Amino acid sequence: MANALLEVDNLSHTYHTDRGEQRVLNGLSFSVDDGEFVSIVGPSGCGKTTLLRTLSGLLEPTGGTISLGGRVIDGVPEGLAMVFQDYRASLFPWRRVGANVEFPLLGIVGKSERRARTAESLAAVGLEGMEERYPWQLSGGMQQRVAIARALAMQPKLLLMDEPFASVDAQTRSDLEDLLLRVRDQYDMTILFVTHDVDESVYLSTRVVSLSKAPTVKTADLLIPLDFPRDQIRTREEELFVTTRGEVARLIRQACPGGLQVEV
Amino acid sequence: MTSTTEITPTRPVTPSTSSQDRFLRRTNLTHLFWGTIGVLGFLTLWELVARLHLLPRDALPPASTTLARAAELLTDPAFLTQIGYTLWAALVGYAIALVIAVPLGLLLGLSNRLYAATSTIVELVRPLPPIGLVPLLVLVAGQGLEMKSAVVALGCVFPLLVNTIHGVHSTNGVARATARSFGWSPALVAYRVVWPSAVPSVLTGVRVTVSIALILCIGAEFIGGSTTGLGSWLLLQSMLPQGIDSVCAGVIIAGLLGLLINAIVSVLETKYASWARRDEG
Amino acid sequence: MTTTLSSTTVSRWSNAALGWTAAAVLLLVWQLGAVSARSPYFPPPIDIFGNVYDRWFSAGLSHGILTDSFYSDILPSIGRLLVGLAIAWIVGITLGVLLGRIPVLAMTIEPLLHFMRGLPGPVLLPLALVLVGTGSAMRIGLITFGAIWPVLFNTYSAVRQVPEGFEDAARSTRISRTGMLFRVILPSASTGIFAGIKVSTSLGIILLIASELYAASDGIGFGLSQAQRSFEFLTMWSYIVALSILGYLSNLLLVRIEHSLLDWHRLRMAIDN
Repeated sequence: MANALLEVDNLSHTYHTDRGEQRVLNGLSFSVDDGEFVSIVGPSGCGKTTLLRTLSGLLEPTGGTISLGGRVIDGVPEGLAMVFQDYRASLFPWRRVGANVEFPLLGIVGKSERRARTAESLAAVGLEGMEERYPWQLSGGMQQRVAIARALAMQPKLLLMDEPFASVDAQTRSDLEDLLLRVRDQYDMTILFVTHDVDESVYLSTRVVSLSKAPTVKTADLLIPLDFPRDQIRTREEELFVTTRGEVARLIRQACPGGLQVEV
Repeated sequence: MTSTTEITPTRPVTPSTSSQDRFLRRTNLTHLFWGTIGVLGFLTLWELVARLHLLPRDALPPASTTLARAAELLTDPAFLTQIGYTLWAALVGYAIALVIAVPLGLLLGLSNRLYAATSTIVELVRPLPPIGLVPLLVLVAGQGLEMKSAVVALGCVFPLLVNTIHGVHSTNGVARATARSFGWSPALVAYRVVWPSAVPSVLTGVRVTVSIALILCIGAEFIGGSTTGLGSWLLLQSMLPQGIDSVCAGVIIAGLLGLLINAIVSVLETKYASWARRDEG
Repeated sequence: MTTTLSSTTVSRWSNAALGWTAAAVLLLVWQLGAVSARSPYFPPPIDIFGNVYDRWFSAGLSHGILTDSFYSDILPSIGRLLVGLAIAWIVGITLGVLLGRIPVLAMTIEPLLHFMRGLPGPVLLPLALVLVGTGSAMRIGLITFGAIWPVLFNTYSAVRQVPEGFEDAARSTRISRTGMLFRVILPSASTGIFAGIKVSTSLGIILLIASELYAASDGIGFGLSQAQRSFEFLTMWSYIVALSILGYLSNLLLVRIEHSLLDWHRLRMAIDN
C-alpha cells in the first residue's frame, strides 16, 4: 500500500445550536493516497461542506481524528490548499489577479519568488499575462481559474475543492474539468474533490467516496476503472463509464431512505 | 449627488454568510443579558469614579444623584413644558423641510434636466452647517420659534431631498417603461409607479433626519440663547452654581428622548416599508 | 441604479455646464435682489465675495495669497478640526474593529453606545467646559466625541458584514492574526469605514463651529459671534461663506481620496449593476 497522505479516522461532528443538537458527521473513515483523485459525492444535506471544513482545519470536529502526512491536524495544516465554490466571496475584489494569486505567499516568500510563482501558476491555468486585471473584470470560469492558480501557488501536497465548478455553465465546466486534469498531471498533485455532479465525479477521479444523508456515514468507496488521459467525449461514451456512473448514482439514491430534513 | 448619511454602501449579493449573520442568530436573551451587564457596569463605574473623587465634584455628579434628578425632572411640569417647546419647534421645522424636500425631490428625480441644473447649487450649499447660520438667524428672526424652526428646516431639507431623489432614481426602469406602454401620462406613472417605489428611501431619510431635527433644535436653542425649550433650559442650568446636576440629568433625558423618537420612527418605518429594508446593518 | 442619465463624456460635461450656469443665474438673481432690496441683513453677494477675498486671500502671489487674518481667523479652526477628526477616526476604527470581532463585547457595550451617539453635541459643551477648561482641548474633545460615532458604527457594521468566504479563504492560507486584520478585514470593510469618515467630517465641522460659538478666542465660530455682537452683517456673511468653502473643500478632498483608494469597489458595483 502506498503512503496514505490523508487519513480520516472515525470523524464525527455535532452542531450545538439554540434549537438543539444536530449530528452531521457520524463516524467517517477513509484515506487518500499520494497522487489519487478522490471525489466525494452525496445527496444534498449530507454534510459535504462540514466534512471539507473539518478536513481543511477550518472547523474543529467534535470527534475523530484527521491526519495529513502522518501528523494529526490542529487548525489549518501546512501543505494544504483549498478552492471554494463561490469565487466572488473567496477572491479578494480589492486586489488584482496577480495580488490574489500571490496572497498565500505574503510574508513567506520574497517578492521576486512570489512574482515567479504567480506567473507560473497563472500560466498553468491558461491565464498568463492577466496579473494586472481585477478578478471581477473576468468571467466566472476565469475567476475560478484564478482561485485554482492561487491554490497552486501554495505548492500544496493536497488540494481540497468544494464544488468548484457548480457555479459555472456546462461548457465552462467541461473546460475547467480538463484543465484540472492537466494541472494534476503537471504538478503530480493529490486532489480531494467534493461534488454533487455524478458524471463529473466519475470523469475526473481515480476513486469515488459516496456519503449518506445526515447523520452522514460512508456508504461506498469505489475504484474508478477508467484509463487516463480522459476525454470529454470518448471517455463518456465508454461502457465502463456508463456502468460506473450508474453505480454511483444508485448509491446516492439509496442514501436517502426516508428523506431526512437536516440543516447543515 | 451622494446618498444618505449613515447607510453602508450596498454589499454585493453573494450567498455566503458573514459574522453578522452568525451574530444575529444568537438569541435575543443573550443580547439582553450582556447588554444589561454593560449598562449596569457603566453605571457602577460612573458611580465609583464620582464617589472616589477621581474627577472634580463640579464636573461630574455621581450616577445615583444624576438619575435621581432626572426622575425629579421628568415629573416636573415646568421641565416637561420646555421639552414640549423643543418638540414643537423641531416639528414645525421638520414639516417645512418635508414640504419642500419631498415634492422637490420627486421633481428633480424625475427630470434629468432639472437634476443636472440644480446639482451644482445643491453641492455648494449643502456643506454649510446650519449651526453656523444661528448667529445670523438670531439677528434676523429673533431667538424664538422662527429661528429654531428655520435652523431645523435648513438642516433637514438636504438629507430628505437627497434621499427622495435617490428613491426616485432607483425605481425599476422596466416598471416605468411598462407603465408608460399602457399609455399612462407621466404624472400617472409618477403617482402609481415611481412614488411607491421611492417611499422606502424617503422613509429612511425621514428616520435619519428626525434625530438630526431634535439635536439641531436643542443645539440652536443652546447656542442661540433661546428662552424656551430644552436647550435653553440646559444653558440656564449650566450658568447656575451647582447646576451641573441638572445639566447632566438634562443631557441624559435629551439622549433618551432621542432614542425614544428614533424607536418610534423605526417602528413606523417597519410597518410601512418593511419589505424594502435591505441594507441595514 | 439610474438608467436614465446618459453616461457618455459629452453628456457629463454638458450636465456640469448646465449646473454651473444655473448656479451663476441664481447668483445673479441674488445680486439683483439684494441690491434692490437694500436690506442690511442681506448684503449683495459681490460685496460678500469681495470681503472674503480682501480679508483672507489678498496677500498676493509672492506672499502666498493667504493674509495674516487667514492665519489668525481660519487656520486655528482647521487645525482643531483635523486633530479632533484624526483622534475620532483612529479610536473609532479601532473600537469598531474590536466590537466587530468580539461579539460579547459588542453585546455588552452596544446599548450604551447607541445612547451616547444620540446626545446632542452642543449641550455637552458645559460639561466639556467644566471637565477640560476653555482651551483647544475642550473643542477638540467635543469634535472627537461627536465625530467618533459614525466612524465607530460604520466600522462595526462593515466589519461584521465581511463575507465568511473571505475569512475562510484567508484562513486556509494559514494567515496570521495581524495579516487577517490588515489584509482582509479592513480592506473588505473599507467602503463602509470611509462612508463613516465622510459623515464624521460634516459632523466634526458642526461641533467645531458650535464649540467656537460657545466659547473661543479665535476661529471661524468666534469670528461669527464677534460679528454678531457688533451687528456687522457683511463680516457675518463672509464667515458663513468661509464655512461653506471649508465644508465643500473637505468633502471634495474626501471624495478624491475615496476615488483613488476605493475605485475597485465603484467599478465592481458598476459591472454588477
